[in-house]
Amino acid sequence: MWIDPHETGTFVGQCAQYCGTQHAKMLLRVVVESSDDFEKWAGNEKNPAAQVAAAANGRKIFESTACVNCHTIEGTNARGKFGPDLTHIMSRATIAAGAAENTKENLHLWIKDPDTIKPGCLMPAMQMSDQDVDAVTAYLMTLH
Amino acid sequence: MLDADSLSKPMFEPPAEVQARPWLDRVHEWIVTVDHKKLGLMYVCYGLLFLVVGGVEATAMRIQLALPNNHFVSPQTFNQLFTMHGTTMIFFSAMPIVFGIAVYLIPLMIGARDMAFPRLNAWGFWMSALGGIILYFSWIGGNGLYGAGGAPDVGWFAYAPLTSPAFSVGHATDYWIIGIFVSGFGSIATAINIITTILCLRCPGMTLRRIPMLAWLNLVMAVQVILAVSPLTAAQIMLLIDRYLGGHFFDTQAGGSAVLWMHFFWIFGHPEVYVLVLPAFGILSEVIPVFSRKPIFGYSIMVAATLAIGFISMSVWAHHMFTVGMTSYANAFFVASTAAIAVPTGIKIFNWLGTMWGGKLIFKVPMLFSVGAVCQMLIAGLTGIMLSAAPFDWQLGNSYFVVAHFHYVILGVIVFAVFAAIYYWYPKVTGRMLSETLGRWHFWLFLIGFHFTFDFMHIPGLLGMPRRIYTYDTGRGWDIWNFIVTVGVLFQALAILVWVVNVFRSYFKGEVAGNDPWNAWTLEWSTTSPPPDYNFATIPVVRSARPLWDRKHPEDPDWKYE
Amino acid sequence: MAASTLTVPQAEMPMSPHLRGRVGMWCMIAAESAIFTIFVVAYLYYAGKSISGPTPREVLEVPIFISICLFSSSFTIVMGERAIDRGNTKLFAMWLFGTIFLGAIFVAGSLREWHRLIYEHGVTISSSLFGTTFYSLVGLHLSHVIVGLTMLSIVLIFALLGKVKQEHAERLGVLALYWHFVDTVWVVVLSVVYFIAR
Repeated sequence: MWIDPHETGTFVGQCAQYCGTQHAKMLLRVVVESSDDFEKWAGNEKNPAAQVAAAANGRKIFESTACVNCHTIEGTNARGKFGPDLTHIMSRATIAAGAAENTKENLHLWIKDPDTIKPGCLMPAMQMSDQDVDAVTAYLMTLH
Repeated sequence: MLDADSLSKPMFEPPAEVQARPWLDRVHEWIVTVDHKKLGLMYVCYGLLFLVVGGVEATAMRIQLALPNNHFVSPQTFNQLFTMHGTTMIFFSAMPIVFGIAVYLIPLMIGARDMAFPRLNAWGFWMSALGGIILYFSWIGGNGLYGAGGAPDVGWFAYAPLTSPAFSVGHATDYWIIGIFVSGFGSIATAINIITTILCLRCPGMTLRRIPMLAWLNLVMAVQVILAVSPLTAAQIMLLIDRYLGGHFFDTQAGGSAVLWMHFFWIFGHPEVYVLVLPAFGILSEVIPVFSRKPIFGYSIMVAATLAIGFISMSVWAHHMFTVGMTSYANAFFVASTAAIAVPTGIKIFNWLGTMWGGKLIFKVPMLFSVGAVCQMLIAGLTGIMLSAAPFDWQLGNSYFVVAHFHYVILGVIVFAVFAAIYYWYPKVTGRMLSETLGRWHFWLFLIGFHFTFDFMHIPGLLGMPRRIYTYDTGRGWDIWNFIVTVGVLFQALAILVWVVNVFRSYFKGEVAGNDPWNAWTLEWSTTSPPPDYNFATIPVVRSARPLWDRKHPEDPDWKYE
Repeated sequence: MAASTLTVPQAEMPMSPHLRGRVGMWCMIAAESAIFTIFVVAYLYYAGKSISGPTPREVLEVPIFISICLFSSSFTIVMGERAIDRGNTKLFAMWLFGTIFLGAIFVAGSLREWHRLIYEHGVTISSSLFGTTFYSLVGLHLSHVIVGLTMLSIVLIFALLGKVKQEHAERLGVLALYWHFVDTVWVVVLSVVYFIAR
């Protein structure tokens, strides 16, 4: 698909063909940047995930839980293709296809039980303890 | 004796011992009847009941959408509501009403005693009724009791792969499939009946050039049903094979194609909307001449335009698929065919205007609804032509602009025409007139409500609001328009209430109608109101398209000019 | 009413009611043709698009014998129609029996072929896209043959009980029309499945 943008900025859109329960919350953001900014962004996207020592615990929990079956994080053993790629998750302004802002609280809520933000979505509640969810959230927040 | 006293009582008062039949007996008579008039009436009542049910579903949706981020219904319920609303209105409201009017009137209009296949007529009705019951059982038979699925929530067009076993777990989708599948057989049976009746049972002198316009339009409609409902039946068999026998018709992983479902569905779906609108045109073509005191302008051209619409409508289906990514040649073809169908439709509008031009216009309630329908057809047609331009559709497809367009046709033309028909033929069916005063209240309230809702609905569409969403965020510019749209619903609901009161009150207290209250010209007005079971004591012989005019004006009959 | 004194030219006497059976059957044939057309379109569209399983060329053998039987059954039923038109009920029953017999051979032969495809080649309705489209299209036709045979058998029973008379000829002609339709569909299915898209 080709887009021919003429001004920079963030543009909002939305899924136009009924796709399931949460069709209303399948939102799109098109971020148009100048060529230089875009090259910088694309370059960063090619890098594998950040490895921050402080978040090692969270990373270990992530890699040993079923998260890896659905998600990819470049540079780890997570190679799942079913859910979104999380390698640079903090570069995004929203999570869950625009359903919520990408903040620590929302990430925690989402991982704990996705149905609270988007009832009917396919990501299951992972039945993790609050500390584990905290650790994973902290890890994800390092992935710029 | 024709004095005021005897005119205020129904014309036939059976003796007391005949009236006291047990009610069970009377119910039984209606269940086993093969009389086209009773079946037609049951079809129409069934359709009107589901019109109200579908309206309630729509009202619930509009309340949810009146405000951003509303919580009136859950996302799942909303998705079920729009699926059920669309399916109900098309298959279990509009189609039964259209069939009912056809089945009731056609034998009377062509001078026959019943349809060609009376038992098939009954079978068709009961199959259609069964389909609706099966679909509505889903509200309680699913999550309600065993958690097996509930009402379908896949949209009225049930696109693949949302309907595949992987994404549609449980039986919700199956209720959709089976409900429509079963009623589809009823539709095809009724269509076969209509065609055979019109071709084989016309009275002496009634050549095809002399049958009423309503008969012509229903004839073409019936041919479309035969050619269009069958593809849907085929596609649903394929979907059932996919869901239950492990088939791969719409399974992209195995080489199948989800787009093929879209093609098959819209090969049905587009002619289907003409199945609904042509009978509405038939009603307008009967009512407008009588209330303009002039014969229809250009009967032959109207017939030709009808045949053209019927033919072209089979070739426009992929204008519902402009955004799917077909080749530009394919897109261009469907743009051209869709634009082409505007020509015969426009001819019809001009001919209705030509009928009214120079006539003596009588604005009784049937005429009010008819004129409203013609004006609204113009606007609906214009937004349709806008959408037929593929690039325009790329922006506005699947937005509220489309929703506004098709409701303009279905409510603004078809439902208005149905109301016109009810006010026009209720006296024939029941022997009593509907109240003009209540009818005017009904008309004006409904008109205001309709325009509040559907005029303003174009705007959120233009501002980018997609359809089938259970809520929206504030700040998109859609809030105020959605609110206004919902307000219109109140007026429409009030109008329907007034109309229901009118129908029931007039049945008992309405002015006695006599055979021919409107001074009309087609054969149904030569019988008593209601007609006797056998319709005509002697089969009539006709010499023109307006047999009653010939009888009333033997010094100036139509056959001198035809 | 001036009805009885109004004479109508012969050209304006519309079609007789006794033709309604035939007109109705032609309408039904049109509807059924539309259903079959959709299945044929799906078959042709998906030809060669299976991603697994044997190809049609590898497993299909043109069913010459049973096709000849089915086409011949149209001939026998025409002979039967002629017999009942003349009022010869015994001859009619004979030709009707022949028709049913030939139709039954077609059904048996088709089922044998399916048995071979399923057990020797593993082609089922769910094994591949070819399997899905093949069994759907051919199966839809076979179901129509079976319905036709059922109707014909009921008529045969009535004939053997002596209840079929010459006055029923028109109605039997309508049933024969259905049988000819089923035959014609086989011409199309045979061409598409065993020749065009092989």
